[in-house]
Amino acid sequence: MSNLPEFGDLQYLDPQDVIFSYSTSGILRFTYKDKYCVIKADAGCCFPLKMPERYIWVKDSKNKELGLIKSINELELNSKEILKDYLYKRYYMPNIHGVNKLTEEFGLWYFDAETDRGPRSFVVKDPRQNIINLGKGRLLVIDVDGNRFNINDYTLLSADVVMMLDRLV
Amino acid sequence: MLTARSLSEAFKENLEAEKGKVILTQYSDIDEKGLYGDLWLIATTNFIEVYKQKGPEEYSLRISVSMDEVLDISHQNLVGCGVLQATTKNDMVLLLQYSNSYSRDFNYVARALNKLIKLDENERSDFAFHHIEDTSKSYCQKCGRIIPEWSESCPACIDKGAILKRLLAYAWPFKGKLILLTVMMLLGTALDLVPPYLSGVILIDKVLGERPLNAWQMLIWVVIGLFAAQFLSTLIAVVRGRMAAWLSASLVYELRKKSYEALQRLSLSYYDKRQTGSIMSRLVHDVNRLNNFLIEGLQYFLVQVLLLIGIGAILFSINAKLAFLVIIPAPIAVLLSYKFWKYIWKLFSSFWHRNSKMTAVLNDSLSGVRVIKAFAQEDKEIERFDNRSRDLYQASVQAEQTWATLYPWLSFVLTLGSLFVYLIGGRDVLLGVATVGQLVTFMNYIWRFYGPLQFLSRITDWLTRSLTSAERVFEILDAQPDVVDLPNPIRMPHIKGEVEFNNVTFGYDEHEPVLQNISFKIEEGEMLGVVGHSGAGKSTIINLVCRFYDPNEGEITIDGNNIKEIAQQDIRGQVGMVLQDTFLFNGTIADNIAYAKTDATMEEIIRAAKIANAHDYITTFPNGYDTFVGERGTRLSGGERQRIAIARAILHDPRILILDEATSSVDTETEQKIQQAIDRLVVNRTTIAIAHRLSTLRNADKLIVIEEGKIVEAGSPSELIKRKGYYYELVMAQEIDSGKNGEVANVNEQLA
Ligand SMILES: Nc1ncnc2c1ncn2[C@@H]1O[C@H](COP(=O)(O)OP(=O)(O)OP(=O)(O)O)[C@@H](O)[C@H]1O
Ligand SMILES: [Mg+2]
Repeated sequence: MSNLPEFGDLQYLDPQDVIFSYSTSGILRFTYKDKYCVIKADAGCCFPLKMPERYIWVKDSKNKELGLIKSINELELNSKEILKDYLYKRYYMPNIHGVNKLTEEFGLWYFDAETDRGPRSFVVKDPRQNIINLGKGRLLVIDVDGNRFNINDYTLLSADVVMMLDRLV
Repeated sequence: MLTARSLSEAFKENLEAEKGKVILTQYSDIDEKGLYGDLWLIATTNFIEVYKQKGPEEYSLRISVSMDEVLDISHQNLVGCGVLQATTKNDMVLLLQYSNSYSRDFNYVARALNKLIKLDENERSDFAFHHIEDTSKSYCQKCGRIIPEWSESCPACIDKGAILKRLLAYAWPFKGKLILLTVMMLLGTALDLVPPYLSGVILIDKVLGERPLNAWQMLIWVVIGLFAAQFLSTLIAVVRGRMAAWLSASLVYELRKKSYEALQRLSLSYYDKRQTGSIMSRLVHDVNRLNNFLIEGLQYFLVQVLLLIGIGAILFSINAKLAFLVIIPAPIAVLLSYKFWKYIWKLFSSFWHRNSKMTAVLNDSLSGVRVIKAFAQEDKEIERFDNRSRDLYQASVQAEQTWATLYPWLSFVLTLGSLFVYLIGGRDVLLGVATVGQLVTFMNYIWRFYGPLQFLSRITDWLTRSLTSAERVFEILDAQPDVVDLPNPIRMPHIKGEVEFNNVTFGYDEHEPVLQNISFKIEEGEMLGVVGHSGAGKSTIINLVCRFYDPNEGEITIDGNNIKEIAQQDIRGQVGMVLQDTFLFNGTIADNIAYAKTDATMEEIIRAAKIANAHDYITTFPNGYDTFVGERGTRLSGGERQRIAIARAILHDPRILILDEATSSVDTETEQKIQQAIDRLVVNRTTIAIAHRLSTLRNADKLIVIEEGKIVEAGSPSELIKRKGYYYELVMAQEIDSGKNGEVANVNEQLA
């Protein structure tokens, strides 16, 4: 990987100089100390599933990339909290830690689940396509409306739910 | 499932008294912290506000912006959610966040709000907002259930009887044979019931037990009877089997032919929404299952029911007391085998799922074998396959072992009833109340009695699955093409080639327009060039010209007639396309050139290839025009494929020619050859050409530049260069890029 050509160089932002803040009306603001300030910035993960806290890109309102942040944890505390909060909202993927009920009818799966963002009932069409095995018991579930849910280890759910999910994994 | 929510009336009244008439309300399911919660966006004549709902009557204001301050409302799709933002005169405000369940609603709300902010206060109060209707047909009107993607109608509400009736209608042409088949099956089963009776009650009791004078004679007759029963039943089995084989093949053939015909008639949008694999599986598996149901299943069902009744009757007539002993465990047997099959089915469905995953890996790696070899990834692929294969192996061991464990025990439990018969029946024989023959006959019949019982416990499962298959096949048969001819379409055997777009707006999903207010006119024989960034909507324009889709708003005319009124056959017959991703069918080069004109002579084929600059390389192949191109034409190079496609278009001799990136991804020399071929092809035809390499478009009469679905510039190439706008910038950018390739000259030429 060391001898990739020049244009493949990644533009890392110096974590010491990165400041994230929210405007009073809730818009993400990005300041690169002593250099520039972007009033409406956007930030996102290069690997939202595998490494949600590393390789964070930052873009301006015209979708031009300003640079990459290697790891959220290198940032100064306040910026870190704000960026985490921003990503938490930007990547809406509640963690399911309990399934109260899972039933099947005509190939549709009806979930009644407890998530870290509150209880939620949803329906999954064509589970074979929309329940994706990410390995080591981790599942990504996409419901009929395109909402995403994460299950960190499905084998820890109740026995009959595990049995149903086993069919797909 | 999401239930419709409404704002409290009392709250609304209070609000109206204070802030003006409520024009629009929209619920969102995410609160300001990113948790699930209840938020409301409310637009009154004067304000756009966001409230958090804390109880049935408890609302607290979060955000309020004055309507007059707002310049623009925008929505942005994020991952799994979206946000609604307002741009005000001096700020940008994040109004609220919503999950994807409400993204269509907010998309729609944003459009309404943008209209609203442009009105004055009085006009606003007259503004009528209706919530978006779900036109996607994905919810059942009757019960609110979501409709699975394989079905057009709600499977819960559909009339099972109606499907069954319709299914039987397909078997109707074969009714004579089917009835005959059923009669033979019944006869065969009846014959099977004879031997136990003959060998038990007759042989053991009447002949061996009572030893009448004519015992010998009777013995012979019994043997002859046994022989006849067996012989006849074999004969019937053979005839029945042959007939069933013929019938089932004919039925499958008919069904498959009908579904394939239906598939070919459907519009492109049908295929956009579905995976090829799932359509294929319907034509292959579901049709087979239907066939099994019609040919074997129904009769089997009938026979099993009759067997159950018949054997029951025989048992009772021989010995009512023993018969009761057999019947008593029956409900337990039914329940047990029902549970058993349900469990086993779950295990096996996991097995099938893994099986299809393994097939997918296999498919993937075999079609990508070049890439694997090129990157020397054989070992990784072996491992990937091995992982899937091992998964399958584990599932298969588990399923088969569970089966091997449970099935014998199930049988064991089922036979327990017969032990009672031995015990009590044996005692009766000892007491002289029953005979040995009766006991033996009983034991023989019991086995045949439990079979149908097991089958009946699975009957609902079996019926549901068959009817589901039926529905999937019917869905294909019934699907209506989105693009249809009028009852009396205008016939245009000779299109002149004048094409006009009039304020056309279109989106693959109606709520996400890809093209907006597109208008242009191409005169007969002119060439229109379409330029724009990737994803701008260029290919979408030509999809509309071919009427693969119908526009949502506006109209498209050919020679002054709306294309919706022209017979599709006439449009497609006279529109020719050369696409970047050329698709060749598995066949010879000649077959592919003559695809659209099957009656072409050899001479015509060669002439077309010559015009397309393809003749020279085709003749270097050992098999010339008879060279097989392989699946999708993989045995030819990209440029070679391209020229065959051009030859195909030449032979087709279209009035309207469409070139979508016909010269990308080939070297300069080949490009020149292809360009030359195209130059020959466009003469006297209306042409729409899309190109990233602008040099291709130097001969265009008109150019349009598309940016995010809108025309941002139009005019002749030289006009656009002079204007120094988008096109000029694109040309300059390419000049810098390809300065060495001699395209500079060409640009300068245009500038001059
Ligand atoms: N069948 C489809 N269903 C849904 N969206 C589609 C479909 N085809 C294209 N799109 C979307 O419509 C937009 C325009 O696509 P289009 O193919 O017209 O672009 P284009 O200008 O031809 O781009 P390119 O130069 O890359 O070929 C894109 O955003 C694309 O994602
Ligand atoms: Mg395209």
